[in-house]
Amino acid sequence: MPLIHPTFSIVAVLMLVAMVLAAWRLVVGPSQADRIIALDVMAMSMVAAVGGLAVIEEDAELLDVAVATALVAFISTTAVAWYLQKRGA
Amino acid sequence: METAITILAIILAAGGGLLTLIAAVGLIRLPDAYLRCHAAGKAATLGVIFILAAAALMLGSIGAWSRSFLAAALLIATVPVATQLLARGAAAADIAPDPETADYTD
Repeated sequence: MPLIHPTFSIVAVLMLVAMVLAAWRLVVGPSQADRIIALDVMAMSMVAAVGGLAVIEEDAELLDVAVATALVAFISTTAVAWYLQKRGA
Repeated sequence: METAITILAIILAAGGGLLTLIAAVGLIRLPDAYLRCHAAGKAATLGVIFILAAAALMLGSIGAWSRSFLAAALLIATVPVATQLLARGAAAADIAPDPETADYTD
């Protein structure tokens, strides 16, 4: 049992590193598609971090946040991809 | 039994964290938007589902299992669609692929 919290804390830190890498791609670009995919990866990292947080806090209801984040990420990525297709880079 | 489930959850969580990190590294290292869609769509999906499975195993309640299953099903259904749409949008917007990967077009 004492291994649990360190493992999931390390997972949360890894997700933080992933978010920083994606944020670098978000800032640098160069195209709009790169920025959108970086935002998508940041949302996926947040879903994973919330999964780790739910274990650390021992609270299953935190996983609702993961569900909502996954939905919002899909809808926003689809919407911006639609604008990209319609209006160009 | 308890110990075996805990060990399985720890392995799943570590693997999921590494896979999601690999997606972010691919986002940095790969040369153009299409290959970055590839990295984000594949590695992130599997990694996040591993972490959700680990959370469900650790918490063990019916609420945790159902929420994790819902989130995983949503990810499986939506992430490939989103990255495919994004690649289509990038192609329609004439975003140039990397010259090394564009050989098949000419």
